Amino acid sequence: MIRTMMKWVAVTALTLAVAPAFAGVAVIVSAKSDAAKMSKDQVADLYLGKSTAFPGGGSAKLFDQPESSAVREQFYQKLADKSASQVKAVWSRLIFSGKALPPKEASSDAEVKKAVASGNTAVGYIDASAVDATVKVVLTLP
Amino acid sequence: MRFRVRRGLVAPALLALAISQAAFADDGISYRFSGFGTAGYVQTNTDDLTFHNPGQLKGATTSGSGRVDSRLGAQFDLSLNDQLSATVQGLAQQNAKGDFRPKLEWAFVRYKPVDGVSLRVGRLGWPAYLVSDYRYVGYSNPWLRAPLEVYDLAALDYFDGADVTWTHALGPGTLSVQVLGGHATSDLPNSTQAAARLRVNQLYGGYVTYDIGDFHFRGGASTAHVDYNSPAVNPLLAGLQFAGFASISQSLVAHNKRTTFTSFGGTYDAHNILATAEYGSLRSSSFLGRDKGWYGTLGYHFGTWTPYVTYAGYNKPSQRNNYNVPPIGPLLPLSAGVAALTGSSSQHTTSAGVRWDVYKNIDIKAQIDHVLPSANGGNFGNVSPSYNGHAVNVYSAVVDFVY
Repeated sequence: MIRTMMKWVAVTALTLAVAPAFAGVAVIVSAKSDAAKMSKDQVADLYLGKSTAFPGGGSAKLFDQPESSAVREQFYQKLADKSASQVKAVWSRLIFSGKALPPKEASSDAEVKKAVASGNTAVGYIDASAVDATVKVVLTLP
Repeated sequence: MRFRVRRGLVAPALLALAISQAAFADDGISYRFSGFGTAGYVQTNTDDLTFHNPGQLKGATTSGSGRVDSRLGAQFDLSLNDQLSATVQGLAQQNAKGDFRPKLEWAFVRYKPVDGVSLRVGRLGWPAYLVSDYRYVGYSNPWLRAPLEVYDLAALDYFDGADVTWTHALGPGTLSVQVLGGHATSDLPNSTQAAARLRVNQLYGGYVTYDIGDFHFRGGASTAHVDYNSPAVNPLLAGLQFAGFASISQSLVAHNKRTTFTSFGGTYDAHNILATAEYGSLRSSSFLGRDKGWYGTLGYHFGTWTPYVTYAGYNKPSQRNNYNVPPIGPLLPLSAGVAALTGSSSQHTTSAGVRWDVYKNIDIKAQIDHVLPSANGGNFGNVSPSYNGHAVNVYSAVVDFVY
């Protein structure tokens, strides 16, 4: 009996550990960047193609997570109350009017971090639990 | 002799290519291929008139057609640095000759000398409508097709010239002012070899866009000298001239006649609600006359499903009082011709449809339009003499994709 329960607990704990623990989504820039904080509207303007201005000057280089990823769905939902397909429709309007190119897609939190850490005006978003010293958090979406 | 590459050479070559591309990216040069398309089918409940999009020769009746809404587009964007970029877009859809020959929709170079200023030169989209820039990208649009009551008022997709856009923060939103100048030529629907052509000379326009939160507003006007050269109209005008009604002929003919198109509209898309409305007005000192059109659309996002309704109207008042050719004896055909050309015309459409985002870059849409054209057939083509102005139902389904 005890044994079965122990097994249950272990399985449950394992499941919880494996399931993505969302600590929120962190919007990040390079640790070397001068940018301090960004507002939700500022980030939304960048990721919905309304602006390209990086805080402190220059034009922002944006990085996206893979289309199928949970963090991408969370990011746009929390940022602008839009689903990934609504965001896709917004970008298709910008792309096919020749107004803007969409954010570059990186394959994971680690890839986004790497790309952002080395770019002066790069902006990305990752699961908040993946933040480390190479990047600086400018906005957290809980 | 066949050219063979030894397997061992391919990987290093690809690697070198990948590295050189990465190096390009670091220098700020980037490029992108994109494409869009629609496979569509449309059918109506009558053979008295034909349903088609503006500028198309062939359309749908009770025998359905896949040639009205189907299209394929491709675009190449090259960005050299933060200042300089180029865009080329090609589009194949049924045209005025009834075939699918690809056309160059846009081909321009963009230069941004400073933040907030953009200068473009080349072939540019005519930005008169809310969705001008992506009207043919079905995936980007809420409806199955842009409401014809407005989008058929001035059917001009692009012009050759230049524009300057100035964008600046204003209050809590972003203001954008665009001025343009150029000229354009486009074919008018005609199956014969005769040149049926619309020429738009000395085109000038100004448009203002204001983005605030989830609202987007846009309005402005374009004015030009318009030549409308069509075998459908030319014999009548020549006949009037011959019969001694030269002043009427001169007044009706669209030869270098000042034509102005004014339009404004807005959209709201947030909290799962989609609302959009637009108004357009064409004024020409020729038989093209004064047309007004408008529509309103309301939709709601239920997850991947977005049902919507649209109500649209179009109205061209009669100008018959200004052009009186007595309907007697040999003048009867001329009189009838002028009456048809200057008579009133209208159309009202109630539409209900649904968009289903079936995959990350594919949607499926279905739409039913209940159309009330005036007795001359409104926006429809090939109107049979027996048509009496009865209501027409249009049933459409499309698959849209982008890549």
